[in-house]
Amino acid sequence: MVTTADLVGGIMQHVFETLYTFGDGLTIVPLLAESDAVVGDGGRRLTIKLREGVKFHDGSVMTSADVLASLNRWREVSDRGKTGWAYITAATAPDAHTVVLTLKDPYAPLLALLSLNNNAMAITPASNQAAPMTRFIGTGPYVLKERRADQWVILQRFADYTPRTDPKNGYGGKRTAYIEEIRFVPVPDPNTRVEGMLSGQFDYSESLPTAALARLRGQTKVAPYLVKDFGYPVFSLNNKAGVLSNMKMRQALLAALDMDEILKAAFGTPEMYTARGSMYPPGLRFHSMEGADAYNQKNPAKARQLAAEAGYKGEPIRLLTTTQFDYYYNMALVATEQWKKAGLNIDMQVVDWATLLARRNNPALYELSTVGAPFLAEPSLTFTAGSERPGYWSSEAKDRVVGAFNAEMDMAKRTAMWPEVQKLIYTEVPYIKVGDQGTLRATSTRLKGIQPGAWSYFWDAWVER
Amino acid sequence: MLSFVARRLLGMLAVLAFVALGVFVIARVMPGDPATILVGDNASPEAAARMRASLGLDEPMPVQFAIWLWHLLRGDLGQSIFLGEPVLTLLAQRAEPTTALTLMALTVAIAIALPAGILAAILRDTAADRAILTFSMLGASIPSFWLGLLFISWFAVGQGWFPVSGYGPPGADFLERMRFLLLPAIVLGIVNAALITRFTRNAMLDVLHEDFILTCRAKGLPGWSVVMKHAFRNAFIPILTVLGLALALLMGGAIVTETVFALPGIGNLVVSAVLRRDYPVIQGALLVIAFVYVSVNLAIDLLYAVIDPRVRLR
Repeated sequence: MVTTADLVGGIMQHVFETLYTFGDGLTIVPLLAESDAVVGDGGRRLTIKLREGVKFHDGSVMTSADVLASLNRWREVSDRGKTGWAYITAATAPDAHTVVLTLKDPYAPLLALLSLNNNAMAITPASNQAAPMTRFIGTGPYVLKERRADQWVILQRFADYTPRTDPKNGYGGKRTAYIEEIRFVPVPDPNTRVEGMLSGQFDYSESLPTAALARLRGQTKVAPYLVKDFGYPVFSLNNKAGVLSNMKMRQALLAALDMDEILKAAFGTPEMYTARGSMYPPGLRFHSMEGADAYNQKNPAKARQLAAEAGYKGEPIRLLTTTQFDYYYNMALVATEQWKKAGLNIDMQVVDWATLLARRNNPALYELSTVGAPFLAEPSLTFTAGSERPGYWSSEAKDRVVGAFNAEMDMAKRTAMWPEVQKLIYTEVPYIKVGDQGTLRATSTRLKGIQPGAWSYFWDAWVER
Repeated sequence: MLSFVARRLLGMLAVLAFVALGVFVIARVMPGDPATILVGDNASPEAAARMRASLGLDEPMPVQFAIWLWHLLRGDLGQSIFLGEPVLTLLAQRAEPTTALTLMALTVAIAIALPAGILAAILRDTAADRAILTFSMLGASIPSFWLGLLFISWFAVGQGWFPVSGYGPPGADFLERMRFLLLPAIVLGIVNAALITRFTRNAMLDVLHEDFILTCRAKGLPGWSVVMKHAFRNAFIPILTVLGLALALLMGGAIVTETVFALPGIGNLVVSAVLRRDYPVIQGALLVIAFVYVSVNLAIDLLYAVIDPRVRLR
């Protein structure tokens, strides 16, 4: 899959399946793989056993040849595929239901890469590897029936779906498609989405404005719900060029901020946010408070001091933000004022999302930008990722600490190593986490079985008559 | 007359050539590019660069323009980068909701504005005149997105008279689709009626003070005949100009209203294309909109001649 857009991943996860997926608490569980990957040769070999008899939408049965072909296609078309293939030296199939990946170095995030539904390592028949894809043949519980641009995407239940037999576990385990047809309808205006829910035109809607919470509550036909720890907005700092390439300056930026004020401006009601320094909320494997005392310092005097130590002379600091996501804009607005109080000369540039993305790709054009991410099972896939990505975090300490974390294949040991990574993030400040953000969604009261999660899915859900 | 039409057609071609160059340049000088959007916000600059190359966007600008122009001259507007369909097909799909919405909204606007404007002119400086002027001022000041949301809340959610948004479910027939346009057409009609009302009133007032109206009255013609047959016909030229402008603007897509009502019209297409820098769609759609605009203007100019014999003589 070419795009990393969550919208596409969220819809197509019904059509395409991956070798692995995310279980409860952001664990990694098998989906088209039969079982957990067997790690050998000091983490340099992954043996993946495939499920047998899994049917594609075209009626053919999945074998290791399809997986190998899909792996190769993933390398060609997908950025995450290229990340993974930087470590994979060979992919072979000893038999029809086994795939062996040989790695040049142990690389723990690979399994998470094979699990993600965006930029996904989607398994499609070996005979269907055209890029761009013209026939959308997956193994998922739904078949792509029709897509009309800006009007609808229609998915239809796949009658021959081959479900797993183990119990449901997050996105993994047994999947049952009860609903005959799912229609995804784009409604660009958030307030219109609210009205659509209230009128009963839709059964599910997401990214609803927080201001609508009161109106949606107390309705008989609508059930609003908050996904409390949906993701986290950050200020991504340009570590490579300009004044913020100086670590002391980045620490100054962090010291000045009052996150409570920023979050209130960005998300309004306290139900929608939590001021929390841990990179992961409680209940998830990587939750830790290590280093988090540097979060929410509210200390402009210290910031001024750090900036002086960095030799800062009032050079403009270009902050990229956008009104296309109002919380980014509000967050930037309040933070700018706080930074100005600390004597930092912030030049806030409000641009559209497309411009922001393009400028971030050139380290000469900005100092920091507002971005965000959902909580992913693998920390190294977001802001601690490669030094070639916007943010451009690169340091000797990062190579050592994050390198060791990524090379450890044992999950228990990795969990124990994460606090050190988090501590490094609060020392070198490659980015500034603002807090945990919730998101408001709603279902009609007749739609049952929807699980709150990063990407809503509609297998295991049903409509009551 | 024939040379008039020929001159106008030539002018139209010149305008379109200028627009073609303009939209190409405007699309390309916008910061950001479709490749970055296509690979998503989690992708690396290298991934964006690879995508750019595969889309042919790494070619020099004049080369890209020449390629586009070459295809354009053969009637090919290119293919959407995001939607994977020819731009012409996309525009054709969206022409129905936009055209239908325009005609319905204009009907609503005319039904409100002409009687209101004429009435206000006849009853000049009375309470009725002031009420009409106040309402038209209100209509011109209300943002259409707000009026749209208000009407959705009242009439679609509250009363259930209209659907909230969209352009009908898959397989909806023409009448069903038109039902989805009623509410947005009323909103657009009201917003457009405001301006037309004021124009109608002013145009009528100008004519009602002319000597020939006095003559008509002195001849003992009935009041309605003076107003409708003599005054209104003469006042209609400036009104027609405003109607033409409104028609052309609406055909270019009622962007805000289409977004609020999630209508798959031309305006929606252009906005989403701009936001994701879908160059072929931006260029193609703007060019077609410009074409519609100048065509409507030409048609209006020709209509003057039909309505007012004096124009024909010039």
